[in-house]
Amino acid sequence: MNDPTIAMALTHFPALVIFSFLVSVVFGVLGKETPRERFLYGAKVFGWFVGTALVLGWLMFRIPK
Amino acid sequence: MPEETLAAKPDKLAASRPKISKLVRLCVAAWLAPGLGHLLLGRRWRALILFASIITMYGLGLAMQGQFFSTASGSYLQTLGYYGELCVGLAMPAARFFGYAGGDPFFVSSDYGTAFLVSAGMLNVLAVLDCYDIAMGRKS
Repeated sequence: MNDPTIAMALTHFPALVIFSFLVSVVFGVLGKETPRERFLYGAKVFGWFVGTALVLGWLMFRIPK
Repeated sequence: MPEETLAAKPDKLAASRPKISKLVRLCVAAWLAPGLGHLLLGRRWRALILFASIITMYGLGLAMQGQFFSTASGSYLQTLGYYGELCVGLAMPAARFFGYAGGDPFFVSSDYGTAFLVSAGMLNVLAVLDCYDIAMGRKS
């Protein structure tokens, strides 16, 4: 399993989106009671994860090297 | 609320509280396999979603060659990482059993993989706490 040819190489953004999705699902399931509340809360958490990363990425892009 | 009801509520809660041994069994089950505690409490869908999410995250961490930390290095951060990864329960020994040697730190996605492994452990801690709360009657 340590052979890198069969390992999964992800760039930062797909890794971020997958991570955010899975964490949002768990937060939604554990944090709220009704299915609707869970969906809305999960969507909100997902949006915050991805949105914050994009904003921070854009700000860092603006910083001169 | 009448005084009688207020006085009776803590007694009622104490009466419905499960035994310590049952709580420990539930929490250990929830730690060993993500979602198992919820399954034992009859929350089948919640158990399935938790299991799928946490195990997917752990599996992706392994696929990205995330590192297994150890307590042998003497570094506090490595030790914390080890306990974080251990929080997924049987997944870590199972991965070792099936031949995962602990990741390749020079692989391009290894750092992301390590973050996935530790995060899966932390999510399982939340699941264990949720299971405890349900068993105590604080959540439905």
